[in-house]
Amino acid sequence: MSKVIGIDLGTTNSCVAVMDGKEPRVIENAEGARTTPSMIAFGKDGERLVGQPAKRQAVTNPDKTLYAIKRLIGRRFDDPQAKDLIEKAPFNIVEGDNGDAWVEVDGETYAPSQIAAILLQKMKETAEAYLGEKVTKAVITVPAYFNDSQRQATKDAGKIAGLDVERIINEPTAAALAYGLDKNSAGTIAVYDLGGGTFDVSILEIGDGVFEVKSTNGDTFLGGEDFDSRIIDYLADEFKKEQGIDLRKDKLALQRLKEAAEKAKIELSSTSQTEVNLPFVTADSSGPKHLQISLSRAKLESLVDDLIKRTINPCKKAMKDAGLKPSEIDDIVLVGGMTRMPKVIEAVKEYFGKEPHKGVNPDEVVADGAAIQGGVLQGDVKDVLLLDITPLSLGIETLGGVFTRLIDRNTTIPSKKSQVFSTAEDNQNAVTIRVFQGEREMASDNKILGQFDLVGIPPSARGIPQIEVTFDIDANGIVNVSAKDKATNKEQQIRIQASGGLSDDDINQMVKDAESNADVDKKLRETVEAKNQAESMIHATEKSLSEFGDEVPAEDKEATKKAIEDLKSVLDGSKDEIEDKTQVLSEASMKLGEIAYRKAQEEAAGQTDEEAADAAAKASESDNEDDDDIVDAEIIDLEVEDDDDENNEEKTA
Amino acid sequence: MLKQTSGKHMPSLNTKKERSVSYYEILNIEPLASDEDVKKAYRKMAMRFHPDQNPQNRRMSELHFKLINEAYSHLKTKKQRSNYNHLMHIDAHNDNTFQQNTSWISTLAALFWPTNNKS
Repeated sequence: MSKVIGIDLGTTNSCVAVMDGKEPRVIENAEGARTTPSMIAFGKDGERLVGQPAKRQAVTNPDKTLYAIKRLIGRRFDDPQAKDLIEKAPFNIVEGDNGDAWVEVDGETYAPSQIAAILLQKMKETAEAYLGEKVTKAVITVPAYFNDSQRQATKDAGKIAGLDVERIINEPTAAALAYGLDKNSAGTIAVYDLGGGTFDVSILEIGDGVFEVKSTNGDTFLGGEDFDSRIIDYLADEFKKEQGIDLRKDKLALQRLKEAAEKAKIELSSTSQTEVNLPFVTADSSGPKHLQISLSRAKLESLVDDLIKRTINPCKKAMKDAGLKPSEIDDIVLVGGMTRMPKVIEAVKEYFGKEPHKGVNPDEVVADGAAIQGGVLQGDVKDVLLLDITPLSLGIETLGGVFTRLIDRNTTIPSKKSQVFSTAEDNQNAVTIRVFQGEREMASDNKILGQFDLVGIPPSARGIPQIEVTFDIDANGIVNVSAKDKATNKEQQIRIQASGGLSDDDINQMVKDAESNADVDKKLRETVEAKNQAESMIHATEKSLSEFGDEVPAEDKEATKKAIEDLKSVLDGSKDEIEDKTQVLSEASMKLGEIAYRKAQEEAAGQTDEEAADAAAKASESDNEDDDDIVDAEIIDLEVEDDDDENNEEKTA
Repeated sequence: MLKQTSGKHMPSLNTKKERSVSYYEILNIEPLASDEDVKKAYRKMAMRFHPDQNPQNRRMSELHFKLINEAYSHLKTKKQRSNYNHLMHIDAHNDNTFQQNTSWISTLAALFWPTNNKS
């Protein structure tokens, strides 16, 4: 049976872990990093870059580099919080056919679930490379305060990536699992999770292997990205004061500013002063402009003070819902990169009145917890049980547009509740059940999850019919709502499931696209590799030709030259063509290779001619096998050089 | 448009007419149990009957766990227990009324989880 992997799909970084025996283990990606930037880029040739490679080229390709997609997932285009990203992001956010916020690159539109799926695929591949087997099942985490659409859209992303999402679990809960399993502890803990895009706080009681979430609260639009924004605005304002140019209007400059802001923020967690230096950030008629502004920790703290304060109110609400006082919390677990900021730690300490726990890695603990839950679902991890809750109240609209709750927030799931309602008018023969999620008193202020009609109610005076409405949430947080007329036993129900904004057909199509894209990407990569190999072969042969061309028979020389020209002419062709011609060149230039090799031998070792000839002869015997290896090695060198060049360009651009 | 009916709704499992088992029986505790006892019992029951612990029997265990949750949510605190006792006419000082029924949970368990001998 294939392993259930745990994925922390973050706003700015993602992380994947699996159970390795009794311990969760974070897996390094192909680039050797334990977390992967949650960025996707579409390159010039249409190739897709994921993670670090996407981040590295963001500055030069801002409108085709997608980040913070988690802030859009499961949101409507007209959602005020989606608007915020629409204003700030250099890439295009458009209204999808279903009214959701989608992104557009090169005239193609993508659902956020599709973009998230590309990231999930990368995490899946990372796990597969480590495990050496196919992975089909995953536990994916979401912010505890995500609503039903956001959860569903995340689940859809998993499906598109070819993963059976065994469970969506809450990030702070996952963190608590990892913390608790490690310490084998009992007591009441608070998890304070300030990530790249979202803030969550959860209160849990741990004992006898049961992790019971008591309450949760949060803000799905408060995180490191907002801290970065404040720094960007400050730097841009300062620059404007000095130079009169607004860098926010220049996509390229804005992207560099964004990178610099993130870097400065991180540095200021360990130093008290840093310098933001962006040479040639822009130019006007008077010439190039450089940005050089120093930023102190105190200044940063003043810029983000209100953001940090905004985290305390959800803490208070969560404590109130759990019926606890801050002094009753035994331990506070900090999660998310932002909790490295001294001012954040200070705020937590001040509210809870004690030093927070420092034993967990804030970047990895959520993926660890997801892997543990994966292990529980697989039956590998015994005697651990997670009892999660629904973060937001669920109910229906009743007379006057009032929101009537059936399932209160912080109810342990799975759960089932029923309540009897009646008609509001005489002879009313049908009722519309409108299902909402949220905490506001009026239904329309909450998020609508779906609606359905119950018809055929026998005519009678208002208040007489008895309509029993039942809400049923399973362990995955999927909500079923049914309504039954007790007089006729007529029943209607709706599975609140397609609310991720994508229909099953949409998802199936996207799964196909993702699969074929993976094929296209693979082909593209192979073609690029073949091309690189061919180019380095041409380069090496031309070099030998100019040095030793006169020492080979004229016909060999001509054949080599022709083979080079032939290969050059197919460089933009298919992988097979390139490989064929590369092979021809390799054979034609064999003589040349021998001579070049012998010369090199002579020079390097200063050997006698005979010995060198022997060595060369021996070498040429195994020439064919060696050839590939030699060329491969050159390719690797060339690629590294290319990368360096790019980096240099970025630095000096 | 729907209209809310007057009055608080009754616990769905235990309307007087349909009375079969009490919340105490579901958690396998006595009405005199302390808060700590109730919590311990709930954890024990959850560990045994939660669907995640019974992957071969998800559907039934989910139904069962929902009942356990419902019972716990009504018996968590002393005040809740006293309200419930009043509503159900349970005399907390004389628990003869359901002594005869305490085997309910084991009967149900035997039905649904014949091979599960965890406890």
